[in-house]
Amino acid sequence: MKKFIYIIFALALTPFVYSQATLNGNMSFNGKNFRITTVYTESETAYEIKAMHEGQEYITKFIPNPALKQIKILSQTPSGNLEHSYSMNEVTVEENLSTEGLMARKTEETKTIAGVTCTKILAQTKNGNQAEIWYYDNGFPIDKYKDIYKSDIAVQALSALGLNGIPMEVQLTNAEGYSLMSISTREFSKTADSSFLK
Amino acid sequence: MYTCILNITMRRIFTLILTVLSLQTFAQIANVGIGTNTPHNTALLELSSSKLGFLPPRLTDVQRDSIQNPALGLTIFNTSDSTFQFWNGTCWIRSFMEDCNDCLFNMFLSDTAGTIDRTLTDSVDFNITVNSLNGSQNNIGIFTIHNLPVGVSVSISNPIIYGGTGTANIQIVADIFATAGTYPIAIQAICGSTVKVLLYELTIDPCYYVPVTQNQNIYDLQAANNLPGVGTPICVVMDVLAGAQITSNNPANAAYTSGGLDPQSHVGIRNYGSFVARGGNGGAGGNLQTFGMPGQNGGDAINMTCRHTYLNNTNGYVLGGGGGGGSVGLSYSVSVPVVGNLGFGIGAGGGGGAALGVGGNPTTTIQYWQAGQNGGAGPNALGGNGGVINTPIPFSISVANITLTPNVAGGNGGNFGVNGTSGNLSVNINISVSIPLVGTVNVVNTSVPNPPLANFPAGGTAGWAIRRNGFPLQGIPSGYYQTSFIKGNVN
Repeated sequence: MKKFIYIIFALALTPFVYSQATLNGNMSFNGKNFRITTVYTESETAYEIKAMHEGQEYITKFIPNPALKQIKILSQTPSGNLEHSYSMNEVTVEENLSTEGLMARKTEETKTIAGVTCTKILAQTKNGNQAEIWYYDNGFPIDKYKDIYKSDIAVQALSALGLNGIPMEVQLTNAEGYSLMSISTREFSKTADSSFLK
Repeated sequence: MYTCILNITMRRIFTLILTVLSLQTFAQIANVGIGTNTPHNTALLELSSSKLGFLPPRLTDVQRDSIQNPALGLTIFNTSDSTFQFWNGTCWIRSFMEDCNDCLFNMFLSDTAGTIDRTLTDSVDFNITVNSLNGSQNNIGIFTIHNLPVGVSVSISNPIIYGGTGTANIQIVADIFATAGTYPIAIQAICGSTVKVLLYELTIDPCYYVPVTQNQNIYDLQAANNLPGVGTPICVVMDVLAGAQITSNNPANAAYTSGGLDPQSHVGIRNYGSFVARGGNGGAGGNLQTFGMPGQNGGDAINMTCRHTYLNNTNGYVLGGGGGGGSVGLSYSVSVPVVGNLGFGIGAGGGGGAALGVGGNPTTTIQYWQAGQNGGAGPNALGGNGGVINTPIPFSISVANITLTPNVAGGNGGNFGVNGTSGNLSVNINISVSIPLVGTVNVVNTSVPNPPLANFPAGGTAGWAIRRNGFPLQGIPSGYYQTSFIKGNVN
C-alpha cells in the first residue's frame, strides 16, 4: 500500500520533474557569438550568456518574471556584480526582430539534438523573417513567457501552436537570408539547479 | 722865473692871433688843407696824413643827448656803441643806417657748440637773444642755414621776434640713424637790410652698428655682439637685412631682446627682415577633471630692455606669437548592466599658435583624443586648428551597445597677435542592452557635462609684437596692430 502511494506520488510529480532541463550551447546574435546556458525548472526559466571583450569575461544572466512582467539582469563584470530590473514597458522590440504577423507550422520532421528527439517547426513573420525551430517536448509551459520573450520567435511559435516544450535549436534569418539569430544546443541535461534562477 | 712864464703866455696869445688871421685869410680863399697845400676844390676842409687820423668829438650817449638843438649834420663818435653818428634833423643816426627807423640790434647765442650722443639724449638746444639798440621795434626773423644729414631736424621756437628784442630757442634733434659727424649751422637774424650771422657747431656721436644677415633664434643683441652691458649706456643701430628671420623656438623667450644692455642705452632697429615670435602650444590633455588645459601664451617678437627706435621697412615683419588654443577633455564613468563600470576619456587638443605652436597632445592615455594642429611656420603662418571629434563612436561589450556622440573641439590656435580660443565639449552617451530573445532596453541616455559647461579652459594670450616694458619706443605708437607687417600689441 505504501509502495503504491509512492508510485502514485511519483507519477503525480513526473510532469514537473520531466520538464527540468539545463541546456548549454551557442548563440549568435547581433553578429556576436556567445555561450549560452538555459535552465528550465518545472515552470520557470532563465538563461545566461558569456562573452569575452578585450580579454575579459562578461557573464550576464537574464531572469524573466512573467508575474511582474519584469526581467532581471544579473551582471558579472570585471568591475563587479550588478543587478538591474526592467519592466517590460521599458523594453522595445526592434523591427528586424519583430514577430508580428507570425505564422508557424509544425512539421513531422525530427532529429536528435544533444541526445533528445526534437521536432521541427517552421515560422515566418510579417517582416519576412523566417525561422527553423527544433524543439523538445518536455512539457515545459513555454506559453507562460510569450509576453516577455517578445523577440524570441521560437517561444512565440510554440505558444502560437499551443505547444509545450523548449527550443533546442533556432535559426532565424531575414528576408534576404542573412542570419539574425541562431541558437544551438551542445549539451542537454534533464536536471536543473534552481539557484540559477535567483 | 716870472719872465719865463710871461714869455710862454705871450707866445700862445700871439699864435692864436695868427691862427685867427690865417682862418680869415683861408675863408677868403674858400677851402683849407691840413697836411696838404692843395685841398680838393670841392672840399671846404681836407685833412691829409699818412700817420694821423681825424678825431671827431667823442661823446657818450648821455653827453650826446645833452646837446641842445644840434645842427643838422652835427657829427660825433659815440663812445657808448663805438659808431659814428650824425644828427639828421630827427635822430642821431649811425653812419651805416639809412634812416631813424632802420634796424639796429645785437645778437647772442647761449651756446656756440653742442653734442648729441643719441644715447642719453637725441637733441640739443640753445637760445638766441636779440636786442634792439636804437629803440626800433622792427621784427627780427631768425633763420638757420645748414647742410645736416638725413634724420636731423632743426626747429626754432619763435622764428619771429616781435619788437626787435627777445629770445628764441633753437632745438636740434638727431635720430639714431643719422650719420655721425660734426656739422656747422649758421644762425641768422634778419631785420630789414640788417643781417647778423653767428655759427653753431653740432656734433653727432657715432653708435655701434650691428647688421643681422642670417636667421637667428632667441637673439640677444647685447650677448650676441659682446656689447657693453649695465653701467655703460650705448647706442646701437641694428639692421635686420632682407631675408633674415629672428625667431624663437620657445614662447617663453622673445625672438629678440636687447638683453643686458644698460637700461639707458638706445637701440635703433631698421627692419628689412622678420621678427617672428613663437606661438603658444595648444592645451594638452591630461587633466580631465578640469575639462582640459589652457592654451599656452604666445611669445613676444621684440622684448625691450632699454629705449628703442624702430623703423619698419617694406617687407619687414614684427609678428607676435598667437596664443595656443585651449584643450577640452572629459572623463566619465557610469555603471551599466552587462558592462559594469563603463569609463572613458575623451578630449581634443588646442591648436598651436602661429608660428610653430605645437598642437596639444595628451600627457596620459586618453581613449578618444584628437590632437590639435600645429601652428604654421614663417611670416605667413596661421594658427593651427584645435582637434575635432564629431563622429559618433559606437562600440559594444557583450550585448550592451554603446554610442558616444561627441561634439568635441579643442580651441584654435591664434594667428599672429591673436589669442587662442577655448574649445567646447559635449558628449551624448547612449547605452542600450539588447536582451537576446526579449528586446532592447535603453539604460543610459544622457549628455555630459551635465549641466553643460559654458567656459572651457581658455586659449593662451597672444604674444606682443613689441613689449616696451616701460621703455620709450619711437617709430611705432603704442596700440594693437593687425597690419600686413605688424601683428600684435605694441606697448
